[in-house]
Amino acid sequence: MTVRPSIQARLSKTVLLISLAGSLLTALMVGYVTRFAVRDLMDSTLQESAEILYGLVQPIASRIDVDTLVMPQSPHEERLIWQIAQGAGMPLVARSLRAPPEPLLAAPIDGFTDSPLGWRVRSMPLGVNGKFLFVAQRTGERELHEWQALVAIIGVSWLIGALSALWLGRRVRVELQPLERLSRAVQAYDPLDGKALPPTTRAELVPVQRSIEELGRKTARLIEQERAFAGHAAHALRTPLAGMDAQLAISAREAPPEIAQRLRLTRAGVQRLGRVVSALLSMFRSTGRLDPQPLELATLVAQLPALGVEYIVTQTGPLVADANLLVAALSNLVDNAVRHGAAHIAMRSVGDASGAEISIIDDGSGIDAETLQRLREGLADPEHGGLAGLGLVLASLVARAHGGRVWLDSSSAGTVVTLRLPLLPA
Amino acid sequence: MRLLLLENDELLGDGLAAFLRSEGHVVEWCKRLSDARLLVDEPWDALLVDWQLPDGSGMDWVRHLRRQSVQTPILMITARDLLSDRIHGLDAGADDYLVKPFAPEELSARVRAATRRAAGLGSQLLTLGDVEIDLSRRTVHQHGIRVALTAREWSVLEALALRGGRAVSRADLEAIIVGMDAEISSNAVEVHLYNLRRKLGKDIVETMRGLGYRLRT
Repeated sequence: MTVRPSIQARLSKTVLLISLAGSLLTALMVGYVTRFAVRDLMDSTLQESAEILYGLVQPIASRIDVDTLVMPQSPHEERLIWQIAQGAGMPLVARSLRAPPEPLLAAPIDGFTDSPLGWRVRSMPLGVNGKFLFVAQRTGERELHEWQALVAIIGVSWLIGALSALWLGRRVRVELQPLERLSRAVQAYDPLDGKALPPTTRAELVPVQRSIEELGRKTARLIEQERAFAGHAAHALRTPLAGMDAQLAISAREAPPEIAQRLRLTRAGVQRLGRVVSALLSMFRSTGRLDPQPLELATLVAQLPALGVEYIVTQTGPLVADANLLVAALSNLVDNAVRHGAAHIAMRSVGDASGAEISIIDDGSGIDAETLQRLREGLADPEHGGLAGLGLVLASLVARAHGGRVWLDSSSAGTVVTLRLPLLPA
Repeated sequence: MRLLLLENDELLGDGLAAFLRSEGHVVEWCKRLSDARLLVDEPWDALLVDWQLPDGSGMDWVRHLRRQSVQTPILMITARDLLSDRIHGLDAGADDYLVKPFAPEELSARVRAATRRAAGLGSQLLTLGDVEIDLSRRTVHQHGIRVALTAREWSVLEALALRGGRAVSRADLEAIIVGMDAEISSNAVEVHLYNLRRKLGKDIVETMRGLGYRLRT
């Protein structure tokens, strides 16, 4: 059987993929934007710092001379450094403690630039003797801040994505539950027991449920009609058949020998007709409802017509089946066997947890290869096309009603018909 | 055996009655429940009852008879073949249940089995000293040699055998013979008993004063 993907699995997978892709995309976009925002923020800090320093330094800039003034150690950690450089060639006139002794920029500009020494520099002319103020931050530190922001954003995005996936997955399961309940109810639905399906809680499922119930009602009506007919037919057919049999039995006793023989042949025909009618009525009546019971094969065989044949019965393991149907099938198979010259019939039932197999092994004349092939094809055909007799068709219908099928094997030593009957709940 | 057959179908009733008579039984065939009710108090060895009858349910009648403590073996013959029907029939008090169509030979064999069970006999073979009675084959052997009996002699012997050692009244034995032959002499029972004693030994049948007769045990 083809395994079809479930809606829930597919939806859950989609939700998971969308959540993960969404969170990845969000992380990338927000990360990208944030990186520039963090840079801008740090540049603003540099700018602000430079402006404050400018305000402090500019009034005294003319008094700071070439002998480099290095600020003493401060109690705080110095994250921003500064330098004051003198005109062309840019020798330093002053710097903060952590600032490198060489000038950050070889040529003065007014604005932001990246120093080859690994600093982000805001340089600003002091307007006194070509002096310039450099305020700078290490590029490495700036990158560290950028990465920290990025990692935090990615982490939060993934967390949101994962939580969304979990929540949406749960919603999918919850929303699919009514469908699942309906599916289970339909599986257990027996239109013949008169019980309706439990009410569904979702608008979309109401038409589905109504259609199934309507179909069930129609099926139940049809089956009830068939059963009622089978009941009437049973009485109308069985009683005259029994009457004909009794009349022929007594007539054969009373008639002269040459007529008695004809009467006996006629009687055999009537008895066969009786078995066929019984089998057909059983099939008719069981439509849509099996009555599986644990059975003893010997008890079933005791109900089969004697037909002058010797039965050898063996049973191992359980046999669960509809007794009426099985007797109908077996009696017609036995009939076939006897008409093909069988004197002994072995009935074997082998059962286990998965079901039972009943084999009817006869010592009759067997079936030729060509006919056997045709019969096998007929058994495999859903409509039993190519099967002329009733015995095999009935056996096959009974096996199919039990969810199983019939196998046929034959040689000159006899024929084996096997009915596979998967175990059904009793 | 005296059998009461209750079957409304002409073809089947007539055929069964004729067949059972050919087996040496006395058969009274009723087509209606009301007719059977009038006859049921007579001494019957078995009742053969159809379920569906024009004036009522054979099954209900069987249940009624069992409530009245009627012990006669009853066989249901019916077109109803469902497992639940069989259970219903047997629970109502039928001793056996035969689904139409059936072979009359099978009915006959089941009647023998039911009457044998009712008589408390384990098998169809009844041995009384040197006399061996085969209820199935309707034969009698003494010292291993077959003894020829007339149909009426056999019926009397069978009736005694099926009572399982209990006494059978003269009137009951007479009813069996009357059923086989409309005209009998007033001492027919004695004549047949005399013949049985002559053929099988004089103590094969015991006379119980005021009660009737029984087979030697």
